[in-house]
Amino acid sequence: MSGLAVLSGAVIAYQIILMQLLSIVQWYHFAYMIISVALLGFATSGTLLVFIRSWAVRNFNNLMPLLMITTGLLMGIVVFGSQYSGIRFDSYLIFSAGSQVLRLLFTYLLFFLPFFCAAMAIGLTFIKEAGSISRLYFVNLVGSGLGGVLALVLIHVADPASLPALAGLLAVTSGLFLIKNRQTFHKILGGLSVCILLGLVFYPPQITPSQFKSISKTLNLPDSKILWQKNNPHGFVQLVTTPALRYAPGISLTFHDPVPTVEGVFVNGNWYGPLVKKSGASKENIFKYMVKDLPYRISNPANVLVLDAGTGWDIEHALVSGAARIKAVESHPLLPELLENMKVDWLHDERVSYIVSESRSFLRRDTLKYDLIIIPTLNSFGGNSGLNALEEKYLLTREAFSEMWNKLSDEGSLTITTWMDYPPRYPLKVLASISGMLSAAGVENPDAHIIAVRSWSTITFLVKRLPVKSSEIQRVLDFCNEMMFDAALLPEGNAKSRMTYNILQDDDFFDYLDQILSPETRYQFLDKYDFKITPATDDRPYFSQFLKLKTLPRLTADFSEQSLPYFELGYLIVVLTLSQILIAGFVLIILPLLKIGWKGVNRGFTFFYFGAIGIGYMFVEIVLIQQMTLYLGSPVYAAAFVITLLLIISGLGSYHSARISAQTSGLIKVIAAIVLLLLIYTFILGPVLELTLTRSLSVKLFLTLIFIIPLAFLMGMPFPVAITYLYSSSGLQIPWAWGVNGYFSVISTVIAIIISVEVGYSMVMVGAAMAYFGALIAYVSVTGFSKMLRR
Amino acid sequence: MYNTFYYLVLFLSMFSLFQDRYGEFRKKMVSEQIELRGISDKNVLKAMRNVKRHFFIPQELRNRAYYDGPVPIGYGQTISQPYIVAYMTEIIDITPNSIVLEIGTGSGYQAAVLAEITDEVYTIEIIPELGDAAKETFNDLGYNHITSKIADGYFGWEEMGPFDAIIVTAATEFIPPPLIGQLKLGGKMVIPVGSPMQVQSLMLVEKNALGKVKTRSLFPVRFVPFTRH
Repeated sequence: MSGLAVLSGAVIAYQIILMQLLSIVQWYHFAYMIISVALLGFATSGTLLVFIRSWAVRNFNNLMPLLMITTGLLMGIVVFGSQYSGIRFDSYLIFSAGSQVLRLLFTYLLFFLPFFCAAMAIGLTFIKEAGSISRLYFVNLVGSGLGGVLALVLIHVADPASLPALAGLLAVTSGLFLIKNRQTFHKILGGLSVCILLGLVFYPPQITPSQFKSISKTLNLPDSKILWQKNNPHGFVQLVTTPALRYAPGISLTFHDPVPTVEGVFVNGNWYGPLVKKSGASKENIFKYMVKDLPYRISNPANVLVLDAGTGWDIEHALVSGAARIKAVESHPLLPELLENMKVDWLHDERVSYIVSESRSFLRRDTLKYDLIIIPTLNSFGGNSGLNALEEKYLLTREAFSEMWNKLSDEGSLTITTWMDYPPRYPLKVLASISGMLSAAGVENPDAHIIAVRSWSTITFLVKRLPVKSSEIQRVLDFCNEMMFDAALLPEGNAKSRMTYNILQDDDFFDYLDQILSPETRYQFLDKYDFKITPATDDRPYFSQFLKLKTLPRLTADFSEQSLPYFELGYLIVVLTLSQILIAGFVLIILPLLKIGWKGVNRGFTFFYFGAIGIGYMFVEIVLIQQMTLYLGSPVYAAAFVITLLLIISGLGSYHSARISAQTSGLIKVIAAIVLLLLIYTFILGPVLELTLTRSLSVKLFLTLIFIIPLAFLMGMPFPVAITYLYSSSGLQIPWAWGVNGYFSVISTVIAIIISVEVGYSMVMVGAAMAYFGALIAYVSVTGFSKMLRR
Repeated sequence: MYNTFYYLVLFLSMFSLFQDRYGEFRKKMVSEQIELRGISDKNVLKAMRNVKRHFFIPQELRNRAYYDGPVPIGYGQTISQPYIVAYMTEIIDITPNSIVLEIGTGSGYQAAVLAEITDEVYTIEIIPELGDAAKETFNDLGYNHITSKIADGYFGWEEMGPFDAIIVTAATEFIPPPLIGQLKLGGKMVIPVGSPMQVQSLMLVEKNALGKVKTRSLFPVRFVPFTRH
């Protein structure tokens, strides 16, 4: 039992570790892919056990330690195998080189191996001790839950490259306890594995980020070196210095002074911001020549709020512009330590308060009003191929904009800058979000409150609480003429020439802006435009997701197939992964079972019931993680907390399910209760969380427990009770049950992502309710509802 | 001796067949990817036909040399899509007497195309491995009038300027002030804007006779949205 718990914990810890490593190597954590490949391992093991069941049970004592030790060894080595140049895939190249699709598949299959071995061990235990399935499932789930917590601890204390081997050591340990005295080979293998893994812990091979990631390119510059680095679940922070790194995004062409060099901060290999150590004349000068100086050109904001402050660029800008009080909010907890270590002088400036918090949580609980609220610059120079399509951005939702509007002082303003892109997407979505915010606030003439100024590469929007004054309009025009910027939007049509200094070959861009600004044409334009530029919401917080599937044929005609991935690489990779998973799952799980034939009674029940609960459970997990991300203020901790809680409480439910006989109506009531709870949560969970968002963390954690415990407890029961039912009626269906459940769990993770992107998380919750309802129907139809009621 | 002669002829035949294959690809590239898309400058078309693009690409990726897209060359860099190279070359409007500066040698392909048109091409690369490899390729292919150096392109190449045209292929979030200073009156600078694997627009910087600069965003592929109809 303890071996099972430790192995289960190692598996979950390994999943979370892989997510972190992929975040560093690729551009995204690929959480859905990791969860899918883990579940694929479980499901495939179920299929294999169909074929070798008798032999495996007979050789249980030999196989178990072998499988556990092999799991651990594979955990340590496959990550580095995936870095081998012949196999390694690069998400940036995935649509430009056909071989990358194969490499993705190889990587997928490599990661599959340790999960498969672990699943074989766990599945074999379930089969051998099927009579105690409830207790075993409990141990499995509790162990898994604790594994999530362990992963977070390990990420805090260990180098990222050492993490896979640490998880591997855990798995190997679980196997070592089972070795009997006579099993010499096992002892040797165990010993060797421990030595190899310890070697990998203390002398880890290098984890190499994609050559296209910012940090890779920066490290290619002359005399570059990493000055500081530290890891934590929020991301791996690195500070790089090189004399060739400069930062002055979109600076005016009238700037003739030298652009100072900076040090670069990277999180998971992605550019996070320049390190502004010391104030100086050159830096003061630079800010004046940027479009982002717009708010300071038309007013003198005293109280400034900088959201997602990062490394302090906007803080420094506010300081040199004369702000009296600056509150800066940054979510990454390692940033203050980095800034202290690098002796950044503004950190101790009495005018600056640097707070570690997730921005939305801060907005809810902070009671002050501000003269200027600054949102960090969106997108990147030249765009990023839609890589951030799946990134949840709660600071850019309709609800967030409303909260920011309400935090403005009477004469306050909100500013947001984005890089220009082509075809236009980011600037249009920003304007749509701002316009929506003003409409929601009851502002009848939004164009009187908005200014937009464009340089050759960026555009800055400024939204004022009060209508823009004539004197301010003149200051904007003076700013533009001085800096060779162009006013893209000014009240009362004062932007007479929108292309004086920076010509756009396709000037339809301005027509789009006007259509969005006008309440009469806005909704029609948003509906008809080829990209998704309707404002993001908390239910669908994917600001950077622009793809409309229905316009794909037209975009293909305009830009050719080869160009399309570069618009929406992130989202298209999800679709590609789904295709691969559907096929891989079918080949590894279903096909072998078909080969032996699907015999026996209750086949339909097995398929529909176990498929449905597989879908339902994963849908619930994905939705809860999303809801708690905003609520608890940290995506990483929310994910770990939800997964741990779900698994442990489901484990308790599984343990308790031993009292439920499959021959009574008990399970019907359980599933009906799950469906009811899910439907209730669809409507009330969001509003309750929103209402209590400003409460203390302990209150929020308590409320989270209140919501998750009953649901998770109940969700732990359907699987073991139905397995017991199959065991009593026909054990032949059990491998199929395991395989079908695994297959649908595998694909549902990806499907949940797609549904949430297309229609929002609420619909995923509804989907979960429908799935459990489907399971209910399947169960009732095979057992007979009326018969159950009589018992 | 007869056998030796036979094998030599066979080898040379195979070799020229192999080279002809690339030649055919190159012709097809120019006619389908470049001419058909509106590039009409005769010097540019001739340059694109002459420059053996496949030599600027790592051996293992040469089968994609004439593919309609960028190809990675290592160090997070790519050799640009042929059409983009032709477009940029046409847009800077150079003549045989032009002095041209390129920031970001990369594979060296762009510099070679420029060198087919003008006798004075200067190119700067900050990554030594890339710069050295490009220089070797220039020598192998006989581009002796390309002057290259390993340096930080931010500073341009003041002693060789001012330049009639500057191509800034090294990704940059700002236009280095020294480069604007080294652009001649009436000169043009072009900067490709795009993600690592795809250029979506070009930034043209023009300096007029009075020294004033203007930028122009050019979109090699026009987007025609539903809303226009």
